[in-house]
Amino acid sequence: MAGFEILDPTVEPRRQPLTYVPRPDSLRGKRIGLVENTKFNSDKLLVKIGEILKQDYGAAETRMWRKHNAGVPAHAEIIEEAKRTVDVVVAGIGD
Amino acid sequence: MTARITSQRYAVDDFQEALDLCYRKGWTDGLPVVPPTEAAVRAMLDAAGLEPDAQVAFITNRQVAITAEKVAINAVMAGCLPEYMPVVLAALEGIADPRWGYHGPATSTGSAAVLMIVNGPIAKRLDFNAGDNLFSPGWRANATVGRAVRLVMRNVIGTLPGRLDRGTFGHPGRYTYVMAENEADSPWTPLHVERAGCRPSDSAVTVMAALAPIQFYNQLSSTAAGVLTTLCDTMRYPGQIGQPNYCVVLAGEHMRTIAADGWSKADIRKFIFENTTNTIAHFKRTGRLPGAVKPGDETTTRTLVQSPDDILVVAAGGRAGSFSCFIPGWASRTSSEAVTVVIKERRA
Amino acid sequence: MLDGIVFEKVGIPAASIVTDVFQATGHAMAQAWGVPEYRFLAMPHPIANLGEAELDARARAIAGEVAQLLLKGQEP
Repeated sequence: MAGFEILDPTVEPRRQPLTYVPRPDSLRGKRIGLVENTKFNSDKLLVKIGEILKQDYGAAETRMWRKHNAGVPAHAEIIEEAKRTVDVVVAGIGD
Repeated sequence: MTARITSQRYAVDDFQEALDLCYRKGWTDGLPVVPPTEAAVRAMLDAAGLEPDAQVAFITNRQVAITAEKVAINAVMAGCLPEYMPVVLAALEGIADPRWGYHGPATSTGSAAVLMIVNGPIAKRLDFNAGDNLFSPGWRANATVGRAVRLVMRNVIGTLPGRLDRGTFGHPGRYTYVMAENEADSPWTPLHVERAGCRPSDSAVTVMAALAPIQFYNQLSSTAAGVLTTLCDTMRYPGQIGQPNYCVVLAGEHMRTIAADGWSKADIRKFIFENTTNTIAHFKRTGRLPGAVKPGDETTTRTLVQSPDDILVVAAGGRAGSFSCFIPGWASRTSSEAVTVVIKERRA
Repeated sequence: MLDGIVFEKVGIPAASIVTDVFQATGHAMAQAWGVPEYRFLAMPHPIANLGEAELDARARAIAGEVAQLLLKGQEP
């Protein structure tokens, strides 16, 4: 085979610009959602972070959700409840 | 076929330059690939009856649309014959299925590969190996169909080591991990019929997120319970306790012993389910579950799988040798489930 | 990490935390979702075998960054 062309097997991700949500001025009085990814100690760590956000930053309350599994984003029920009941979300953490 | 091929083109002087380019770009699995020319890619698309821009699958977690053109390019690179395309396409539909849950098996440190079990008339027609040396090199269909799927995972879905593939070990099944069920010799209902309600005349591929096979040996038993007791004793201590799917592959000698006792696949599954429990105390003592052993833990048991139906029983492997094997799945069946897809030939 | 992006898309400010060995993976996911510059937080890996006191220390070490990311967001 002399002098030929080969085709690119790859796909480049395309940009999907995101309009980010306006931020609150402070966490004082805000409700914090904690979304733990089911990995060991993720829930404990998020609870502790939540407590510090209350004690040191004046957040009003925290509530925790557990995902179905670590390999998928938060499922629809969590998202719907979060929209109704919290102002910001902290998600994570472990492997 | 009228639609244009839109992939970027690279001019090369000769075969060696093409090989070197593919290596330099990171497009290979470490083995040389077949340079994907337009003619070869069009032959793949013709065999599948698809236009280049036809969407084969969408990987939600990666926001990637897999087109027929990109599948064809990677199938050429893998060394597939055009007639293998329908099998490759069906396997990709399987791993794109939300029940398979692409992200977990592909990205996890848990190192799953894509086990592909081929059933139906296509297995014999395309010469997929179902017998001796089941997982060994030497059969073009087994070698290249699995490889095509992996190259798509790498090149199209971006499943690259250190980035979106964090397998701590991976395993050799990530080169290819394809088997056919030995329907000719098996006394049992084929996997695709009993698990997914396919007709025996359908061809199908079942994809399962899977670790490496673990072999066990029993030359002494002449009963089903005898053989399966050894299996259960080998299988019962899981590397992970999340209760994933398992695939049990019964080769010639064991298949005949179990069948002679009149056991069905359902009987096999039930026996395995009932004979692979562990106590919570054991899991705590062996560092698989956290916490100190509490009094109730010595009598509280946990099954290896969530249900007997989570065990895929397949007749395959050599006629000789008192060996069969089991293949653990990944994580848990609720995180990733084996999916059976009917193979559609020439979609046009 | 993807959860942060998902919550932003539905209108809830979010901060994602991963462990540090997965930062490359987090960035690759952000790129796959079309926002390669998306910021998230990382703490030392692993966390699974940490005791109570160590978890307290980890929480204290990162809480300030969490607050800042929630308030400042993804502004450049």
